[in-house]
Parts: sequence; C-alpha cells; structure tokens
Amino acid sequence: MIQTRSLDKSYQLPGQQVPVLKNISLDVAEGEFVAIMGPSGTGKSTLLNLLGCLDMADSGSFTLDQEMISKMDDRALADIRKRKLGFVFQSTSFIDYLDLPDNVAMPGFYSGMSRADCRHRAIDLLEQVGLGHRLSHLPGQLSGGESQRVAIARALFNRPRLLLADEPTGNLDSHNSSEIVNMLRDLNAEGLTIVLITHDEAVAKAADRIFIMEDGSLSHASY
Amino acid sequence: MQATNPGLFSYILPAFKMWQVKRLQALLSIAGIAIGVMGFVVVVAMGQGARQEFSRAVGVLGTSTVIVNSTSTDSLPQLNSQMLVSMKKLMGHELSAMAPVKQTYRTAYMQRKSQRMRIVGTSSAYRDVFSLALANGRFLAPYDLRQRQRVAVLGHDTAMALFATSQASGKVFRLGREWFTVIGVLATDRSPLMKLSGFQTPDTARSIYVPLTVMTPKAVDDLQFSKLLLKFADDQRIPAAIPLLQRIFGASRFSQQKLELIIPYQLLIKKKQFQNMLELFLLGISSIILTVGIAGVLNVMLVSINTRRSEIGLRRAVGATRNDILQQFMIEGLMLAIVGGTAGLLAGWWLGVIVSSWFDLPVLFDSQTVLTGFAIALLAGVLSATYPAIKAAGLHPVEALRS
Repeated sequence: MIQTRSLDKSYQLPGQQVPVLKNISLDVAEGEFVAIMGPSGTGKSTLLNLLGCLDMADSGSFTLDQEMISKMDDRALADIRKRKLGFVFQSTSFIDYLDLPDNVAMPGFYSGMSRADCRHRAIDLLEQVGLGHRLSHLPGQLSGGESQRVAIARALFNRPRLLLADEPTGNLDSHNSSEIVNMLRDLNAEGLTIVLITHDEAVAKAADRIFIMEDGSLSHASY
Repeated sequence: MQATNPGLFSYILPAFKMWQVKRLQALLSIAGIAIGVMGFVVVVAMGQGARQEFSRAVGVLGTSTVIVNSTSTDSLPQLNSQMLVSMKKLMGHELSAMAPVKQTYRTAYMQRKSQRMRIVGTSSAYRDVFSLALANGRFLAPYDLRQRQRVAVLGHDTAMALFATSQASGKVFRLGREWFTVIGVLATDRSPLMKLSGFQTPDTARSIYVPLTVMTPKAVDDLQFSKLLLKFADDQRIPAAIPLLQRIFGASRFSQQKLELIIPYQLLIKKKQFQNMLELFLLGISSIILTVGIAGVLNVMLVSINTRRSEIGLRRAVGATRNDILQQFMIEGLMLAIVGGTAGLLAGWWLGVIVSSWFDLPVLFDSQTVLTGFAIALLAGVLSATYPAIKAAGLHPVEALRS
C-alpha cells in the first residue's frame, strides 16, 4: 500500500535549512495497522503529511497504492486525497457553520456527489459511530470524544484505502481514548489500512507494528 | 478517474449557512457595498431628474423666449401700448409672437362656489409664445380685445374646480361683479413648474385668461401692463437684440432696475450648470463612500480568511484543489455583492423618494441607473474578493491545518 524510499524533507528558516525527515524508507502492506511513536518535534506529523499527500518530500520516492505520488501536481494530489485517503487530526477541525452531516459529507462535496446522496451517506456514517441522535448539531456543541467519532465518520466518507490518524486520542480521557482505539481496530479488521501517530503506548499497542521516530529517522520498536 | 468539481451553485447554500453563524461579518460587508451603491444611485437619479426637468422646461418655454418684466413697485406704468408699437416697428421681423401680460388675483364665483384665481390679461399671441394646446373651444382672438369681450379661457384645473368638467365652453361665471363666458379650456398640462430667479413658468392649469382690455377702463390703444413676452423667430438673434430692446424701453429704466430682461433659457442653463457641479460633487462623495465600502469588504474578507484557515486546510485535505477554494471565496464575495447591491438599490430608491419629497428636487430612476448601480456592486464584490480568494487558494494545506 505504502512504499517510501529515502524520503528527505527539510524546512527553510531564514538563514538556515532545518532537516526534519532523513532518509525515510517505510513499507506498509495493504490491511496493515501501523503506529508511529516518538517525542514531539521529531517529524512524525511531517511524515504523516507526506503520506497524506498534503506535502511533498524534497527527495526520494513515494508510491501509494501503485501510484507514484512524488511526481504529482496540486490537482492530482487533491484527487488522490479525495479518492484514497481519510484523515483524523488531533485538534478536531470542523467547519463551524455547517451541521454534522454537512461536515461529514465534506469529501463528497468535492467528488461531485449530489447533496441528497451526500447527506444520506453522512447520516448513515454518523449512525454507525453512534451519533445518529445529534444530526442537527453544529460541531461546536460536541464533546471531545464525540468530535473524534465525527472525524472518523468524515474520514470514511469516500471509502478510503488508507486512514491517517494524527494523535486522534491526544485530547481524550482514557475511556474515550479506548473507544476510539476500538473503533480503529474494527475498521482495520474490515480491511482498512491505518497509519497512526501517537504518544500513548497503550494506543500504539493496538497496531500490528510500531515504529519509533527519533530525530527525523524511523526505527522499529523493541516491544 | 478525473477530478469532479462541485458546481458553482453548490457553494451558495453553505455560504448562507456561514452568514447565519457569522452575522456581524456578513452584515458589515453587505453594508459597505450597499451604502456605496445607494450613494451612487441617488446621485445619478438626482442628476437624471434635473436633466429631465430641464428638457421639459425647455419644451414649455422654448429657447427663444425673452420676457420684459416690470419690477417697479410704484403705480407708474412701465410698459404701455406705445412701446408695443415701437417694438413692432423696430423688431417686428425678428419676432414670431409678442404678448402683453397683466396679472392679478380675483375671486371667481360659480353658483355657490367661489375661489381665488390667477387672472391673466393678455392677447391672442400668448398662446403662440407658450405653444398652449386647447382641450376644447378657442383661445382669445384679436376681436375679443378690440371689442372688450367678457370672455375667458380656463386652465384645465380651473375648469374642473368651477364646473367639475373640462367641457366648460359656453358656460358663464362671475369675476368680481362682471360676468364672463367661457370660450375655451386648455389641455391638461403636466409640465413641472419651475422657479428661476425672477421668473416662474406659468401655472397654466390653474389660471384664467381674459382679454387684456377688459382689465382696464383705458382706451384699447392705451394699455398698461407688467410683462411683455417676446418670442424670437431665431434664438441666435437674442444677444444682438438686447441693446435694441434697451433703447426701445429706455436704457435708464433698466439701470434703475425698474425693468428687467429675463431670458429663461439662460437661467435654465445657469441652473443646469449649478446642478452639474452639484452632481459632480456628490458623485465624488459617493465614489469615496464606495471606495471605503470596497476597502471594508476587502478587510472583512481578509479577516474572514484568516479565521477560516483551518477550514481551508480541511477542505484541501478532503480533496479540494486550489481552484475549488478560489471559486468558493469568489462566489462568497459575489453573493455579498449581489445582496449588498440589491439592498443598496432599494435603499437608494427609498432615499430618492425622501429627497424628492422633502427637498422638492426632481429624482428620476431609469433602468440604466439601476443596472449601472448593480454592475458597480458586482465589480466591488469581484474587486474585494479577488485578492483574499487568491490568498486563500495559495495557502499550503499543511500550514492551513496547523492553525
């Protein structure tokens, strides 16, 4: 599913170049659940942005589901994100003036689906994540755990091949956290490939494989 | 699979939902455009009104009318029959009509009705000077003056007031102690009345015209009157005729300000020049308002994009291209312009009605004014949305998501 070879990425600060990712080579098979751990500021999110086709590496190659991502332009990247990827972020970002079904249906908006179809599928997904009773609410009226469930519903909207989750339990208590983890595991059991970033060892243990990110380099975890 | 873009119309509903939540922001933008458009529309409508009034007044008076007006307050006659004779001798070939006028107010009686009326004593030429049309009957004739016939031509409103019909020819009424027979009624005249310095267009609808000779006991060839209306055959000849007129009437009378020459066309031109300047001044003010409005919208949209960075990042993450973001913000800007423009047009119309009724200024809205006002609103919307929209579209998804 994911195949990266020698990915490098650095940020340009005035007067200096700060390397963030060094020589990242990562393979994730279809249907795998992979967690990446590590202290903050080591480049985990940068890697996830590259995998999520939100950003481009400076050098190296990246193949996602047999498509060469490293050679694509803005339009093609947007298309890949739309068709193959689902995102769950730590700080739950929603569009605050749209109700929950419209927020969940956001990926459908850019796929040319009719509004009625969009809302229909969004409502189905919200029911699946246990929020069928809050359809007319705005995102600002949700608790942290509820927000993440909505975020997962939105990530699933376009039936992605790969789910990328950046600290999805970062702001949650242990009860809500394990609920989200269980949800991810169920999705993985149904065949969805997942790459997860987390600080929390308990969360990471749900994954098939765990990587440690340290100073821009990736290594296998010893547990 | 090719990327499918959302249709342009699909941005409209979400934009309305956003306005519902961010009311103040939307209201400020709309108000900026609306005030600018309102200012523009009112100014242009006032200009159009003045232009229409001008051309109507020219239509009534013609460009070739000159009025000799007696301004003396003492009882000494300033204008008399001898002058008429000299005029005819010296300038007859230049004139197409010449009418003496003496004006007074008297009470007209008809059965139990009585009303104070403007009585105009004049000759048959009066009709030619003002190109008056008759609804029925005839105007005064030279015969009426020679024979001192007690006949009268009524303005349309006067006929309605006295007889409740415009078909009043042949009916009689009383002016003071004398009975008059109606010989004709003027056609309805809806020309606006204009006051220019020292001169007022005749209120023909509310007047009674009688032979000048019946207003004075003096001999038919020894009349006195307060105004002489001259219609020149060629308006180009008016400037050259002024010295001659002064000679006929006695230059000293002009210098003593007992007589004045009124050339309505020149007064109209002066008034129009003043209106043009006023219009230009107001247009300047309204374009300043519009510029401030555009700057306001621009500012509001820039702030809006800053507060909506995470929305932009999110939309990019779920598959929006730069172009999709550009379209979204352009359409939001255009919607502000359409709503603001419509509000501005309505407010402008309302303000125009108030201006015309409170300040007695002519105001005219035509389709061109309305269309231009709306086009300006759209232009303002496009101008103020383009930069913020380009900025939003240029945001890197990662940067946008980070905020």
